[in-house]
Amino acid sequence: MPYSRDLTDSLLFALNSCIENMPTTVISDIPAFYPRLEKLPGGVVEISLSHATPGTFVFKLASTVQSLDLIDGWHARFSIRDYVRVHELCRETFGNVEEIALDDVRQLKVDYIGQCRAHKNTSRNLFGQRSLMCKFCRGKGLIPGTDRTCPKCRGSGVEITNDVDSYASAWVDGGWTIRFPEEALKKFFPVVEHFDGDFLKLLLKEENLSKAYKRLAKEYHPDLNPKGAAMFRKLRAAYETLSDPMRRKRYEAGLKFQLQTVTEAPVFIVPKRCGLVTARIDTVEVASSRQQYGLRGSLVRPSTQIVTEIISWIDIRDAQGRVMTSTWKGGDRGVSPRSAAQPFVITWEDDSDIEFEVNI
Amino acid sequence: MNNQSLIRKGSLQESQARKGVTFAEAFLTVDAILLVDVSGSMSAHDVVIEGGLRSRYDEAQLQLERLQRKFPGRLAIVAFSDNAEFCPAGVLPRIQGGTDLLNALRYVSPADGCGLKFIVASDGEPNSPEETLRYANKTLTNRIDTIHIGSSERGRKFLEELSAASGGTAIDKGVDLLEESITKLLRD
Repeated sequence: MPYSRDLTDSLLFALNSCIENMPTTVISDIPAFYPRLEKLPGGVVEISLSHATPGTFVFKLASTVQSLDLIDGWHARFSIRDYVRVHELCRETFGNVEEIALDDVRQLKVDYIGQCRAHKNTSRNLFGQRSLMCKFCRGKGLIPGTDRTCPKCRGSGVEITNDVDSYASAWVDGGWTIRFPEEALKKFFPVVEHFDGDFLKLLLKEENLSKAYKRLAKEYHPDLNPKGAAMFRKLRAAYETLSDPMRRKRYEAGLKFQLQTVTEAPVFIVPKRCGLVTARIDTVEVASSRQQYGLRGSLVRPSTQIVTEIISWIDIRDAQGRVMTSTWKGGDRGVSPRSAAQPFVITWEDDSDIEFEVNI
Repeated sequence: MNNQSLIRKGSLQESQARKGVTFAEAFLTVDAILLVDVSGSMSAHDVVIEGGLRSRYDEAQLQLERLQRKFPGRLAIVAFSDNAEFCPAGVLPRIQGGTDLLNALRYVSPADGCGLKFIVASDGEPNSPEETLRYANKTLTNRIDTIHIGSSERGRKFLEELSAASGGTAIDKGVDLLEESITKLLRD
């Protein structure tokens, strides 16, 4: 039966991690988790911040360590291969890194790594040289920690190329237990067409080409907009193409063929803003009772609840009125935490800077 | 859309990906649209190669591969049989059905009159030759060059008439010389 739930706890951990409070808290706690590093059975460093300011240290690391793996927002794990980078980062952030003594981890062997529920049969090493291979679609690119199934096929065996089922998550009762599917987000948030820099397509719609060109040129001309040089070059090229009747006709013909041959699925990007949310929840997805990678073997994960409707959303704002934004856990499904992209970053932005995008 | 995942080097799709532009933008650099016959008769194994015979279709695939490498991003390939199909990846679809050239010419008509060459490579007479000639003569403004790649006399005659009706050039050299023929037409 549907019920609503006030998610007042939503993202409170993120509030606690206000940047101003970060340095002193974390510095004092670093030695506290040093002993745990010696006890690890495999080549994964795990840092628990459950008794310190949660999230802060994790986010700091997340902004630079590519293979950082967030687990329920309270623990950070990263591969032994990256410990040097962590070491360097800590030196930059906290000064005296000898306190952390990450060097000890060097003695550990990369011999164990757990398996994802969808990949029980694989013997591949999650953090080793080889990428994990999905047993369903045979594709590489399982994202350890962020999702429990292969991001390419979602366990279906058929590679999903667009982000049709992207979602955001909320932090409640000590876990990422609420999931906001794309459908629910789309109903609540306005969706605008994102301009992808295709001036040809844009100018083609204009009745008066010269007028439209002049208007856009004012916006992107390098003399008026120092960051607009590249866009201006594109604009200029598009204008020159469409001004020439022959080339214009050829472009239009290309566009017609494009419609017949190229499938362009819209890509939905989940909203980045954080808020206190009231939502209607219908479905409950029962998660694995064992912790994913089994370092400790028996941690119980809470079940995941699926939002069907967002009833209200109050943005979390700072003293200056800026909205808290984040790359949400699981939200950008195509972005691997091991890639160069930042897996999870909290920032504060003016309303006007936050985008809800559909790329067409 | 061609379902094959293979993308030929020099094809429009490869060129598009390399330049990071849209398909329509990549189309701006195209010099010619090749209308290639993939009707049932293209399965005839009459192309003599060292140690045996090869089908016209297989030979056409090979020749097109070389051509696309030679003229990267400059050739748009449309395969036709009962239906016309754009092949952005430069790979011909499977052989099937008859030779509906009229439908293929209608398919490429949006590109008529924008400075592109139309080159038809076929091995036979189409389903409705008179109507096709009329369409090429009256409706299209482009000149149509033709290459006869089969052995049928009627087919050769038809392609000659087609090119003559539109002011184009007719070549009869066989599928094994397709690359050479198209290169010649492109450089004319």
